Amino acid sequence: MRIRGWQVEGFGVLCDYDVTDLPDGLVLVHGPNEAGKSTLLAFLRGVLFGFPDRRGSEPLYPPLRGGRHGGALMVEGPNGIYRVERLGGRRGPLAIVRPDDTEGGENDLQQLLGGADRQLFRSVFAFSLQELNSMETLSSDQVRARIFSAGIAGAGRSAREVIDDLHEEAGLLLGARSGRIRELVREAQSLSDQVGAAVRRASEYTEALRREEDAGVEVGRLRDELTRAETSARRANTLIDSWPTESERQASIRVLGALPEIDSFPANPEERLTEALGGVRTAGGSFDETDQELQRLLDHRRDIDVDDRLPPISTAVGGLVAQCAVHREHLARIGDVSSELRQHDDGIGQVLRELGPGWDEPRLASFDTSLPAAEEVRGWQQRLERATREAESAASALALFDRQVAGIDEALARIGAELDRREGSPAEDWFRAVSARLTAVAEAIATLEARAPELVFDARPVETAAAALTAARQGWARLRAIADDAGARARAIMVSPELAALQEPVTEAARHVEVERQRLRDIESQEATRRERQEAVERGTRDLGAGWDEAHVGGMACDFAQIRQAREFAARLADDRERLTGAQRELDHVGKGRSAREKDLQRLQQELASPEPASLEALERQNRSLRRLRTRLAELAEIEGARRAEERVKADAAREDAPTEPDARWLGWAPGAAGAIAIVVALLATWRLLVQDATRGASLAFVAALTALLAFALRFAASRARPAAGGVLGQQRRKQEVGRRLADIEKRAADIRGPVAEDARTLGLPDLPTLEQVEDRQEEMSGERDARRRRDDQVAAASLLTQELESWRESELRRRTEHDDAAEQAAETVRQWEAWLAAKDLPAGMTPDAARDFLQQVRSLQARIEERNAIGERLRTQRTAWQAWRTNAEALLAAGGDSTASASEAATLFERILDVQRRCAEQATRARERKSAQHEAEDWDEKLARAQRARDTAEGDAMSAVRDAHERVADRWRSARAARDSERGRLETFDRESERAAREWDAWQASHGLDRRMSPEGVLDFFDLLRRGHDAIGRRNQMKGTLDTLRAGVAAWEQRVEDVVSTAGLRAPEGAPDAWIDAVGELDRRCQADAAARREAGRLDEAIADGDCALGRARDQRERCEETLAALFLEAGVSSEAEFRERLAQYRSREDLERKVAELESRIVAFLGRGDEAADVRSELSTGRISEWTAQRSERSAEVLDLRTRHEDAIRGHQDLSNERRQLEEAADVADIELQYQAVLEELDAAVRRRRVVSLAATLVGETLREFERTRQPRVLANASEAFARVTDGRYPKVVQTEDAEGIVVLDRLGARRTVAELSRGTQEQLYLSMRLGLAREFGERAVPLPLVMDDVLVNFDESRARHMARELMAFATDHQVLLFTCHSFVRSMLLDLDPDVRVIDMPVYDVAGQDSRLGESETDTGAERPSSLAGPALEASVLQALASSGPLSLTELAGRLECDPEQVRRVLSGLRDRRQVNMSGQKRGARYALGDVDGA
Amino acid sequence: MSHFTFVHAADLHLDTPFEGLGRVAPEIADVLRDSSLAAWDALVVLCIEREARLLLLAGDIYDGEERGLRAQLRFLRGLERLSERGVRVLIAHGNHDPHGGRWSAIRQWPAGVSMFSQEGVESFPVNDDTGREVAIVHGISHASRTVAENLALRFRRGPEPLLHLGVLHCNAGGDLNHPAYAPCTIDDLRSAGMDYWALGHIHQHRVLSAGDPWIVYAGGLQGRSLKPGEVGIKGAIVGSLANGALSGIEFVPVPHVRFAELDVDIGDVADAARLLDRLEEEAQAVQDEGPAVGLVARVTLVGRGPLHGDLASPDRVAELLKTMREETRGRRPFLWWSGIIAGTRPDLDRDAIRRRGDFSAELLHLTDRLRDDEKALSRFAQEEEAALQAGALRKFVARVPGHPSQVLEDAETLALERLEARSGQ
Repeated sequence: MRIRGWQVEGFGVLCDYDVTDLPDGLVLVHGPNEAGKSTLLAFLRGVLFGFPDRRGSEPLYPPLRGGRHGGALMVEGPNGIYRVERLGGRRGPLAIVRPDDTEGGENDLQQLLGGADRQLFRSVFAFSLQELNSMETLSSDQVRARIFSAGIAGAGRSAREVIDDLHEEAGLLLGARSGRIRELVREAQSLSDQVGAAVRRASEYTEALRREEDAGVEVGRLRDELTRAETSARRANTLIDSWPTESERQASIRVLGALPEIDSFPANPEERLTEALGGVRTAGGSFDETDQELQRLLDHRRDIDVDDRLPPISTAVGGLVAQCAVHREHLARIGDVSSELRQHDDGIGQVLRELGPGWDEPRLASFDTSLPAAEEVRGWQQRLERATREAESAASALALFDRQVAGIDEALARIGAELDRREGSPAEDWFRAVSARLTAVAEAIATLEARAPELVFDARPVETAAAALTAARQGWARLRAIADDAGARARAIMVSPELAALQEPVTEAARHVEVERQRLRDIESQEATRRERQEAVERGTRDLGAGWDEAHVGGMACDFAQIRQAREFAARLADDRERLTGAQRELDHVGKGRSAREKDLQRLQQELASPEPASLEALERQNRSLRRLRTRLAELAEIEGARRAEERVKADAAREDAPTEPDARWLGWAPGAAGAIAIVVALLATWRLLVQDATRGASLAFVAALTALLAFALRFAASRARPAAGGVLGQQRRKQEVGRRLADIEKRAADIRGPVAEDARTLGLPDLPTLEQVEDRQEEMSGERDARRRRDDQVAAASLLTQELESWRESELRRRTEHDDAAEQAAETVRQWEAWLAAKDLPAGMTPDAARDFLQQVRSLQARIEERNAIGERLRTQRTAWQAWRTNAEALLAAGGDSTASASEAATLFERILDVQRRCAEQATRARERKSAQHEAEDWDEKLARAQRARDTAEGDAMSAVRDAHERVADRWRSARAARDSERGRLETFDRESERAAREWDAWQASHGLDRRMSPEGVLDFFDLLRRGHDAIGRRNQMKGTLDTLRAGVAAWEQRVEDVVSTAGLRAPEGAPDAWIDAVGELDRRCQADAAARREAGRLDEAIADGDCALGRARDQRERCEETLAALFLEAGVSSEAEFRERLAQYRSREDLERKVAELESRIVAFLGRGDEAADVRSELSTGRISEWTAQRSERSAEVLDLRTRHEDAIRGHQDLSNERRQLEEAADVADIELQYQAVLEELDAAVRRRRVVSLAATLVGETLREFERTRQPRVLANASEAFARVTDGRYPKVVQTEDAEGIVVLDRLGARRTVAELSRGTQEQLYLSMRLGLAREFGERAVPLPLVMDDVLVNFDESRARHMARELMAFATDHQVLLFTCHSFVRSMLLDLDPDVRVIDMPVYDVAGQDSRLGESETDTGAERPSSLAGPALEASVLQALASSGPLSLTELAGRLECDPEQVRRVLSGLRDRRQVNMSGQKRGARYALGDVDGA
Repeated sequence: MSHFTFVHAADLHLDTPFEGLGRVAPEIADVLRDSSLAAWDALVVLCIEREARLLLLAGDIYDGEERGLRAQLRFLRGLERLSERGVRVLIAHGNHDPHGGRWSAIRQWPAGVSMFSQEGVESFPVNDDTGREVAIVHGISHASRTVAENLALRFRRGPEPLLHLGVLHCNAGGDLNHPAYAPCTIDDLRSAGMDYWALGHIHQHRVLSAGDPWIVYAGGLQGRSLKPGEVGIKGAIVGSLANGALSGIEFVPVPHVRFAELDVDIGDVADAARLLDRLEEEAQAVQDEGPAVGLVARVTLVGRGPLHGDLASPDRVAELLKTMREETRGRRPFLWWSGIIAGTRPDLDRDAIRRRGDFSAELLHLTDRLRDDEKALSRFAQEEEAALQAGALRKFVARVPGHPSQVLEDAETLALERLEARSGQ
């Protein structure tokens, strides 16, 4: 990367400060204090990496003189010049414009910087004096890594990061307590356990199947029992629940039997009666209203009169009335049209008079004045005018053409004569003059041809050739002076060839001085080390004990495997101990458990020694007996209650045993007698009605009804009086009934007492116990049951305990065996260990840890012996190398004429050889300079010869160019003149065309009978007059037709009026036209009055007809309603409305009772169902034994509850077993878990493989890194050493790392180590600057060469070292860009003295007030020794020629091409730009210049 | 005209565990779990459709006797269906389900189902659909999981002029890829005089002798892993008798879950999208080969190409795998990508790196030395192995093979990739 310029918009004191076209190599930026050098350094860093912000401690450099905070840099990368712009703040907006004008980004910047970050750039590439002197900036990890591990992993970060990354990944896979592999192993172990458990569950399938079948059988048995009990309980329930319904049903049947029989009655009797009565009343009223309205209509119709003659003509009269207005208008228009007709006749006569004699109305009408005819005349007019105009133009053009031809012929002839006359070396002005004249001729030819001049002649080749000729001549002259000067300089340099020839071997020997010096020190140091190692070996051998010597140690096989075996033995012994301890612990634990259970068992056995309570089965039997006993006792109590009730009935019957009342006896036969009479009377009434004796029949029917009512009343009274009137027979029956029921009760009680006594005996109670005794017994049984359960629990616990005890004993036995195994295993391991010790020839009784330590001690000793031997070997090699160098050095000294150093001390030898090397170097430098000067002189001579050839070639080229131009113009003229001659003939044809057009016009006029003197315009005026005549004739003919039409219309209307008047019997009108109109009006009024009378009569006729029809319908309706009422009475068997309503009430009562009975019956059927069982229940229900049913229900309910509970328990048990069996059958868990297990193993495999690879990769990189650091001397230090040695004039020839590789020290000429702190400040700065040069060079080789920017870093150096350092910087600048800021004139002078071509930039100076008093950028080239013989117009011409031949160029490229001073070129370019002969573009990325588009360019 | 068709199958490995598939989606796991049972159901349907009179099962009905009851009951139901249709079923036990194993769910075998004894070769006559005796089937079961005896030598053809079929679970011809249980040679089998040998043990369908006699491995009904022997189409053999002689056999695939290993060279694959397309095509081609309930495929990516950078880390490979699974979710027949083996290599020119003489070159020199020095390589890996096999890890990690040379290759590639990537930053 190179910095090509900057544009500071506002940054600290800098404002609008632009510099462009910075060259490669060293650039000195010079300015006094406060000119802004440090600011500029901060600006450069800031644009590339961001400006400081308020969070940091660095100055912010706000724009003190205005402008936006920030600016831009133009930097050159591999693809061209980039513009990098940044505005205020560390993260201020960054804008990058690429060479192709596209927008770039951070990546482009990173690429330009080769990956250097802010810290690296600041530490190594852009620093101030203060930063140079601070070691801190060089101690950051990144920079240190570059120094001591340069090149380890390319230009990027170090291999350590790769190792860190790999270790991190490996740790994620397997850490000390975490990591993916550990997770997977845990998961795999868990799944493995789950598989085992699932397999064990599957093995229990057969047993599960058997248990399920047994449970199924038990469920079936309980289900049958339950069904039977439920059926019995349900029957009792049904009877009890049905009894109220049945009782009500029986009562309803009894009431129904007391009501009279009515077989049928009309349906909906109430509604039908109301409807029939209402219909009769409505129909009568409607009939009367209709009759009255009809009489009124007939009276009105008789009053209307009409005329029969008028209707036929009413339509015609209406039409005539409508036409009256039109008739009046026609009369008025007849007068108007007649007047207009007369006016048109007058107009036609006027036109004929204007046309003159010979013209009449027919000729006028027949002449054609249409638009085509007029257009034809206009065509003649245009043709005649065009022919005349073209003839005149052709004549004028021919005259001008003749004059131009003559002029061009003359000019070409003159130029040709000039070319023939001027041979040799004419000046550039002559070529330009000829070119201008040829240009003028070409313009004339182009004018003649009406073409663009450049198409005819291009003068640029001539001018270019002329300019090239001038430049070539000037270049030749300048080069000649330079070549002469270079030859003189080469000859002035004197050289000693002998010393120069020795330079290379002596330099090589001197280059190794420090190495040899270091070697001597190393030899000394290694001697000490070897002695130290030897002592350590002897000490270690003694530490091993008696009998051990070095040979013994060296011969002992002691590798890592044996140490590992010892470690494994230690682990195994520890494991054995732990296992033995664990086994003992387990054994103790099991022994304690077994002992505790033995105690528990003894305690239980003592408790079980007490008498055994009754079994649960016996207790359950007693419980059942007790439940039965309680039920039967309740039943007995109920029976006793019934017996007492019957006894009361019996006593009541005895009291009622007395005579009945005689007055009530007739009630027994009276209802029957009344009923019989009613029937007889009803039969008589029926007979009378059948014989159509209605009156008597009705009377008899009435009597029958009254008799029937009487019969009902008597029956009711009899039913009320029946108990009293039952008499003796009834009482006897009741007594018998009561006796029978009492006997039944006694029998039932006796039946129950037997089982009661039996159950009571079972329970240990009296034969007929009281309920209190039963309750007491139940309580006793509850206690016995609890005791039994406790006993059973104890037995079960004892059994379980026995099993557990057995298990504990087995476990104890197993643990004891394991303990013995562990002890045996431990003994076996000890035996193996002792055998191993014996095999290794180690003392018996040694512990594995001691053995491992001993082996490690031996191994360490072996390593020391090896190390000592290696040091000895290295010492031999070092001494041999030293001797070889010494021999070579002495030979070189002798060859250089210095033999005094022979056999002297090494230090003197080093000084001598360095001295010779310096002298040789001086001679070699001179030789190189002389050779370089000679080469330069030869180069200039060669360039001079090339310039000579170029000048000759340019002369020939210029003459050829101008001749070619003349020839091209002449050729062009010849072709142009021939073309114009052919044009002359074409112009003469226009005259002939004009005459032919005049003749043809005359002929056309004659053919149309017109005067030949008329022009086409006159003929068009004549056409206008004719058209006016045509219009007048047309309008007159139209008026005539209109008048005829109006008169015919008036006559027709009057004829129609006369016809209708006569038809109406009136007289036709006479006189004025208005009489006709009045007659029509009168007739129209009469017709309208007659039509109105006729419409009223018609309407009344229709109303009368409708009234007749309505009257008939009302009469029919009244009759139908009366018939309906009679039919209803007949259907009900009554003759009046009152009878109807009475019979209806009886019918409704009977209907309700029957419905109720049916409903109760259906409820019983719905409840009991149908079939044999239902019939049986129905039969039982009719007996009404409610108490018996109640007892049955309570007993069965208890039984059902018990059975249902047991049945449900059994079902649940069976379902549980089924589910268990089904789960086992359908268990997919084995397959599922297996699948998961295999998946985890697969994942584990992958993780383990990855871990192995990652770990090994990390090991490989780490091992390589160690090897790399150990074997390779960092190049940075090597480069820094060389530079530092030159700067200090050999005083400090080497820079090396410290032992810990964390810092550096320097070696002086004598090889003494000097820390940095021991150096003076100036020397420290020289060291650090040398280090930075080394770092920058290394970075450039690895990544990209970055520019080095330094702020006043030479000020603390003495003159000599400053000059040396300046040389270093210049050497460095050959392949790097270096920007050196300084405020010191001596630095400037020194640099210009060393290299006059150094580019110097003087920074602008601001006045105290801070106002804009910039002097502007003034770049001066004080070492203006560069050849610049070109100046003024010649340089301008060269610049223009270069731009013309090569296209756009930068200032640097132009100066290089012209081999001129850039500043001169800049001034010339400025002038050319002012004259717009040159354009400038790309100011932001480095200006480029190109030819402008101005006159003469 | 009488009709006689028999079906020969083997190595059902009902309720078999699947190996090397990694974690699968729940819906796929369900299908896989039932796949061996579904394949057995398909075999039953095949027998019924082909109106077979005889089904020969040549061993390894179960993968192990501790397998689920579910599988036993499913097997029993299939046998009952065959029994109802009069299909004779003859079963020889193999090394995975040796004779005497526990059949806890089956207390009584359906009519027509017989097991060959482990004591000696048993022979059962078989009738055709007219009740005429047409064939004699000879067979023997394995008595234990590891039978080293050559059981084929016990077979001898009888004097009956009928078709003689032999049923045996064995390693015929010394296939080194399978355990050498009941080893025998082709000649041993020929010398027994059978007309058809129904063999089991090798899971891929093979015809060792095409007639006189026929010696046929039916292969398994359902693959169990992505190993070479388990991939490919699975099915059964259908043989027919014409005029008293075996007219020919037919291999009939049954619908099952296919397993496939797909090798893809990324050299001509431009990006991940194209890779997905390519894999879809390859998988579809496999599925088109035969009836399949689904396909479980593992991809091995090899070669060098621009995609290598996308596959450089396990995370990226996992991401690609996830994407592939998302792309094929819900497909019928299903397609499950079991995993990706990233065997691609970076575009590293090792010779050029060696010539550079820099750090990477030094690393290559080190690995070159280690390739020639197994002891040194073992020392490098020793510490790592000790960490990997410490404590509870040993039980599971010790079974993971780690070939030092392969680990070295991969480690070298990984280290170079990281170093070169760093230097390129």
